[in-house]
Amino acid sequence: METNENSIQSVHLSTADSRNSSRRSFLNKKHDPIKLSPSFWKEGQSKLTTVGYFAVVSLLLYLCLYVTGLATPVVSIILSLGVFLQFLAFSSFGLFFGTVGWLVLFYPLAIGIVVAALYNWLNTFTQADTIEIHENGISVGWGRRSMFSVNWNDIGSVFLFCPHHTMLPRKWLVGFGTQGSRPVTIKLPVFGNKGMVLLETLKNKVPWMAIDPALIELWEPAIADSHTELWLKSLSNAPKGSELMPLFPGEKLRDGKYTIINRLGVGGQGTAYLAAMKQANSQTEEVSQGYLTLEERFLHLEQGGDVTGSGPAVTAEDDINNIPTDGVSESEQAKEHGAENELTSNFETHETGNDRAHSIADPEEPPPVKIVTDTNSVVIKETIFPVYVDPRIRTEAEDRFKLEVELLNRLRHPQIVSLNEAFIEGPRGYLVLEYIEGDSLRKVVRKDGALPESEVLDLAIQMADILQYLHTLKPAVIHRDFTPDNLMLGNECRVKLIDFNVAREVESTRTATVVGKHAYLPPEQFRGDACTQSDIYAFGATLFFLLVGEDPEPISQSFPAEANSAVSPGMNQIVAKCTDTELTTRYPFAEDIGADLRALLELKS
Amino acid sequence: MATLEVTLKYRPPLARFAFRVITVLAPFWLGIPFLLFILPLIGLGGLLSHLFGNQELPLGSSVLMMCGPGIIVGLTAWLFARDNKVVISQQGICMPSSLNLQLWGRRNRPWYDLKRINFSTTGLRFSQYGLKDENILHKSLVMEFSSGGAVRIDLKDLALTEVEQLILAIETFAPSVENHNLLSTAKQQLGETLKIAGIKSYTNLWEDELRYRYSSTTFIPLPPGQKLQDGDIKVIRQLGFGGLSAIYLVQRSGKDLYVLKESTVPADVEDEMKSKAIEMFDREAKILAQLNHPKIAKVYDHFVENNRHYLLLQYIHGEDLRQHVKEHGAMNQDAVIASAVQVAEILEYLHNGNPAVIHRDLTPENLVINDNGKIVLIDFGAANEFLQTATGTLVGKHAYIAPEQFRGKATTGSDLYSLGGTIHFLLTGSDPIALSSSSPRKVVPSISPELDELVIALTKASVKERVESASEAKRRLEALLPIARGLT
Repeated sequence: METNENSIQSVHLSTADSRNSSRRSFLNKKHDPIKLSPSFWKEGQSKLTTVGYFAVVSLLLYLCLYVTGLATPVVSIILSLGVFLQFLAFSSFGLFFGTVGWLVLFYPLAIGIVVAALYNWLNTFTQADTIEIHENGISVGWGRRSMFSVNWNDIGSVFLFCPHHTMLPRKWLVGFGTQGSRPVTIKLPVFGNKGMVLLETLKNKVPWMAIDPALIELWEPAIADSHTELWLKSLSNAPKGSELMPLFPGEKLRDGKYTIINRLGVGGQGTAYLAAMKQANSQTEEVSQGYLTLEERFLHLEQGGDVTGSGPAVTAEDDINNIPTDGVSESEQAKEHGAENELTSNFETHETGNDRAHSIADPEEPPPVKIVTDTNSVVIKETIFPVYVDPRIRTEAEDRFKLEVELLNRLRHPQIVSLNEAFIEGPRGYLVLEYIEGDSLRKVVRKDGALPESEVLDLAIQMADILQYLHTLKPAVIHRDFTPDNLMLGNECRVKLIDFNVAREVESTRTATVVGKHAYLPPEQFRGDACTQSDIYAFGATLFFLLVGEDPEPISQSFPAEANSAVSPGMNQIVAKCTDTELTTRYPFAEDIGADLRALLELKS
Repeated sequence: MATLEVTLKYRPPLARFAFRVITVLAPFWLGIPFLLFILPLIGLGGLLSHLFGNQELPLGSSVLMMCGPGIIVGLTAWLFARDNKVVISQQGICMPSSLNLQLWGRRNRPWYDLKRINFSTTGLRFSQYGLKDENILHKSLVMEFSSGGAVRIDLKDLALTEVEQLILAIETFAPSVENHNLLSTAKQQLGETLKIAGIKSYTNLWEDELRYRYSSTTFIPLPPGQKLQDGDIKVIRQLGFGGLSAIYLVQRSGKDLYVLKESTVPADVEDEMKSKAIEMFDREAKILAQLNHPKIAKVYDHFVENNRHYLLLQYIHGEDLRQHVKEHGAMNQDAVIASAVQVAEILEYLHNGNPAVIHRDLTPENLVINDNGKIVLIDFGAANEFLQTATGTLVGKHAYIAPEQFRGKATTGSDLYSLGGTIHFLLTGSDPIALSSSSPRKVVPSISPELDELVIALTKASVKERVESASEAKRRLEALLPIARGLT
């Protein structure tokens, strides 16, 4: 059968199947391509080396013979052989054999080389280098001879095989997994640019076949002049870091300093966890801290319950969804999940741990978090740096994280969440923040509706003071995300600001340009030129939300009185001036807003 | 064949010397012995008589006997010395034959075998290691392997771009190698040298692309090999991730490749908002699945798994326009118009459908040049919209989003705004200014005033002032084509 690249598309009727099949089974055993590769070939070993090994072996053999005195008879034999070969000098291979003859005569080293080389080349030859597709299957052969055919029915898969001894893509093989016998392999360059044609045909003829995605990617036409694409593709095989798993309750960070209690939710800065910080002289044991140890968790799993996190690397957020927390409000959580949760000021004892293990049996209920608030509770926020890629990119992500930390460290205000510590563990960055009790303003409004103006006024003055503090720092700090979601209403109606987006510039990436809550973004921040006045805009929008109970319209000046007639003209005016889309007419300083608000307060009382 | 295979031309110094010597001496070890074949032939007549006579060897044969090995050795040495290729692939590196000895006979080494690298001063026996202030190009790169063997490659014998590729390869494929930090220093020095030489640095392109596609996330992206939908869908590669979303290349049922867009909704989002968003997403996905156009990537499926939302799209292989412009610079006017016409056609189809579909995410990176050289629209803004509704956070390329879309009231006109922004990008190589009308002529004065006018008209902040429809845009673009203008 004549085969060349052009004939891949031709449909060639095969001869009688029965004859082929018997021939095939016979040939399969004899010409098993993969099996022919000797297993003693170590990785990367070149053929010349193998040849060398053979040569050395034969030399040693000769030396042995020589030493034992058997040399003479053996040499005589070889001599005659050599002479005979010399006689062959008259044939077409004459000159070559002439040399060979003399080498054989006197150079065992040469014997080794020649034998090994032949063995080697023979092996190469048995690698099929032609393929023909015909109606009942494929035929594989080398040179002009066909080795064997495989029926469509017997093909189970097609895959890419990279032999260990070479790093060159042109020496790769395409393998067809056959049922019942060893895979059939063909040299990759044989397919040329007809690879996709083969795949299409295969998909038609063999619908059940599994196709190696590496082959599809290999054979899809290369994008002209785009080296980047090839490099990016090759990333998929780059050695990976360890499997990324979400943090489980009971896990420890920072050499045991922090122990995760529960996951609280996912926010703009990453996943937030409640954790317990071990004090230097803490006597509390792991088990007594009211959360599941790993053993308990696994035990519980066996009992068929539902636990935070399931499966490798894909986070299960089912249970977390039942805990509508927003960063840090555990008390909220406690209220929602029944009486069994209590706020205590000490750590629970060992029994608590057990109780918890048992009571999780109901999968609908989220793990009842025995909320143990204590001065040792902290919130840990986790960001995951990009892995699998250029280390420099990851370093940049880490640097950006460190910058954020630096900025956060400078802030010292009773009404701004304080950063206790920050560290990097592996591909994850952690921020350890003060744990704040209470609900976010958004939650408060969602639950109770719009707030009365007097309350808003009080909160507004607090917020204006916070902003003033931030903006008058040297250099000024722009929060960039001053929204109801990031303002916590704590005890005694004190507002606390959390969740800083400080270092987050407008990051333009493929999948996300997460800029922020768009209803609270002024045009200039949207354009990437955030300034302190941008926070003022967000502040105004927040006031609107508190007064009206709904988010304001994005990038437009908001008048709360229009939506809620109960709003006084004075307040209306202040909000409007804050949310002016023009920087020149907007409030320039938070100080001024504070003054106006206080004046309004005076008026009221 | 679309796989990474980089060949560097390098001949180790010893090999270079040997090669020259052997080539020069070729007449002696090759020519003369070859000539001497004739003698045995002549002497064969005598041999035959000797065969059955005495055991003396013919004269020619003994000379031949001495020359034979000479030929063999000479040939082998010549072949060894001749090999001047270092081949890099994603599996490993293949050294030239002459370095075989140093590598214990195994010159093909996988990347995981690389234990340590270092930069040493060339030639000195007791080398100085490390990279201080000396230029990397005067040094040699030393590579040591775990399974034994070490090589030294003189960097001055490699072309500048080749050195860059070599270092990039090590950095990318052997991240756990010792002294990895030296590589960044090397790259920096190299970058400077390349700049001075006026050669485009490949590293920056590569790193920019990486930075763009992979950024920090709040969730853990699916790793390659992860299976979804009961094993039906398997993740092959991560195409990009960042923030709340990720894009993967997946294979379905062990056959075809698809693109999977993943959106994770933060768990702290209220149920009401979230269910509204999910409902909307679902509805939109169903509409999108009905679309059928050769120039639009098909939407095959939409599902939720483990609380993450997925959209399964057709995999279109090609270079997107953003990448194209990044690598080749801004496109020339006529090419841009030709492409824009195609896009306008696509928009026409979308907007005239029943129901009309607003794409919402028309950006240069969602326009791909396929194998036939035609522009295809991949991806949809549905996933972004979903996240936006669910979280209240803007997700998407802000520079291409129309003001009204930003306010939550997207219309078909919003797509036209994005089209204008895209044309601006193609003409100038930089993103348009967000929320405002862009004039490419300000950046590139050579653009014709009519085209500039059209772009301004497309990117008007108010929908009313904007170009009315995709058909109108197409008509106006076609009028600007060279043919229409009376040129060939």
